[in-house]
Amino acid sequence: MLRVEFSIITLIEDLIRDWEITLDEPITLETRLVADLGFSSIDIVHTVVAIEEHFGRGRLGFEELLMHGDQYVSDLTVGELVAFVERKLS
Amino acid sequence: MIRTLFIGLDGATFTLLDVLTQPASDGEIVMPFLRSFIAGGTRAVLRSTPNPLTPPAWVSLMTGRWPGQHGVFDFLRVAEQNGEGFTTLYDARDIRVETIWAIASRQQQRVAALNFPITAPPRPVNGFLLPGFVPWKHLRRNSYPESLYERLKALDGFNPKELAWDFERENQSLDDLSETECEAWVGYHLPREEQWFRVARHLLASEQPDLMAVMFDGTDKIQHQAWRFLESALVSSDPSPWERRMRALCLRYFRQLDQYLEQLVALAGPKAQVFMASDHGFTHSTEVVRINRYLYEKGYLYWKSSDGSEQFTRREASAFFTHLDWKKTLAYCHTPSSNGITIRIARHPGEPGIAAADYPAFRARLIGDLETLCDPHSGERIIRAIRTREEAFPGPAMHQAPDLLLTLRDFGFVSIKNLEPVVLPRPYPVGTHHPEGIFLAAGPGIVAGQRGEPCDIVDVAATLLYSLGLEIPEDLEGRTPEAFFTAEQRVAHPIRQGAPTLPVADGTRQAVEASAAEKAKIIEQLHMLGYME
Ligand SMILES: [Zn+2]
Repeated sequence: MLRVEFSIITLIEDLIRDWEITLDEPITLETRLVADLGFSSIDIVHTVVAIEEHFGRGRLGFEELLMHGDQYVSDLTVGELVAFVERKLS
Repeated sequence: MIRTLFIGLDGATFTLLDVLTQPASDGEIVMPFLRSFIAGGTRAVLRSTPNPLTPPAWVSLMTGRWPGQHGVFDFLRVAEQNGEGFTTLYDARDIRVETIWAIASRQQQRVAALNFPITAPPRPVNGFLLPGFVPWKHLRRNSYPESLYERLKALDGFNPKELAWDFERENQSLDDLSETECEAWVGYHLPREEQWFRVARHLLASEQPDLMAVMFDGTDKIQHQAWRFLESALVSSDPSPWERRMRALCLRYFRQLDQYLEQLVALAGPKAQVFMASDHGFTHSTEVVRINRYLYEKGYLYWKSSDGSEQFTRREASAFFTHLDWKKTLAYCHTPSSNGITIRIARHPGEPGIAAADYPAFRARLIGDLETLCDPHSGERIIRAIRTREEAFPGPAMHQAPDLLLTLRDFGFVSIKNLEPVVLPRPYPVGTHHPEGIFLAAGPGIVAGQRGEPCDIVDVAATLLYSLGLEIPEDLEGRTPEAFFTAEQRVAHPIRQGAPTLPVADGTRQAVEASAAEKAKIIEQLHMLGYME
């Protein structure tokens, strides 16, 4: 499902458009939200909402992705987001 | 033409405003405009939601429904994930009923709604919506229409970083700050309100919406942290230079707010009806009540021991997290702001929690234990009121609310930390929410110099719709307070009840995910309403 990959990368590019960060390379599936784009936890919350809004299928249950056992994940790649959304939409 | 101007003042209370609109000992009146506004109109106490908290209360104000109907109970929403608590924020998709922005929009009224909580992600309106409580990095995408943001950026002095919610900053407690940092914290709210005022002024002047609504929330933030510099009874008679500066800074905020009110009312023009309201009032709390610690001591709750990780230690120190043993805990409090206790029910054998059949007896025993938490000296109950969710949150969203809602004797918010003792006096009083806020009205057709009977927060929606000349949907839980309006106004514009509100897509969509059985039922209902093929 390349469509999901394209949508999410486009969405993140648009999201960070006026964040005043300069990227050395374009956003790819390997880009990490926290380490490469400087996301805080509240940024991740808003990004999840933006993704859910984009696909228009309501809540997708991102807690499955954001929590491993009793720990919140400390970072997330764009590829992990894409794989999660593809799985949920299929 | 602007028919209706609504100004929200988060946490505003007559306890303070009645003082700031009177001459002080030096003769100064801090809020002279508000004084004349109140004198020329009607004022009433506005009773907040059962838990007088910003998100549920503003959503009740915007929908005319109590939380059991609208579905927003707190800032944080907690879902269980693999037996662990997963925490995220409530957002506009959680609101199960129509807002006045939507009701007015679909009747061709143009609206502008600025800085209201739980309005992101924005739902389409006939006009403009800029949500509150959204960090600046996400404001553009949450503006409606999105072009509004670009338009505001072109305004002289517009600074989204000053305007928007700063999550890290807002959650700081002044206890951890130096005196200089404290001053900076209070001072930070002055340019913030200036930014919201400028956006409001711009849209008022250039768009003239039928319903113009803006909320100022510095009142709540400053009162939380600096109440002891504001409430007359608490202000030191012999203040230190720093205390003097803190009070002066707080008063500067209210002086500035008064000027914003004056200019917005002037811009709306003499034909507009103007309403102001708060989501809850304010008072001071004098003691810490560690409710989870009490539940632990009574055997309802079990703590998890540290795994030595950095995340565990960080969350242990936070006021917003609590490390529970989810396999054994039967009842606990999620968040300080909820003032609520959740009882865990095992849905399947072997799951943690009590059996569903034991619920009534278990809850009765829990209430009994909470009633016995008393002041060792006076014998007075620490928890003045304990309401079941059927009492506090009746409606289709009730099952998402805590099982019990507590009101502490000093109206404080509970602590969920694992510390002893359970009840502890605070080093100094801190601001906390009070169930009674304010409701003010003035303008053509509104009775001058009147003290009205107390209203409910859900009445504001009905009042604003009436002011716009619209029918009041029959399923609104609020009513228009007739006595606010002159006899001539009521004859010329009788209060009319009309068709019910329309169903909201998100509320049902969320419910669709609940269970397959519920899903079938909802699809059936949607069929009947003609919403689905
Ligand atoms: Zn509030």
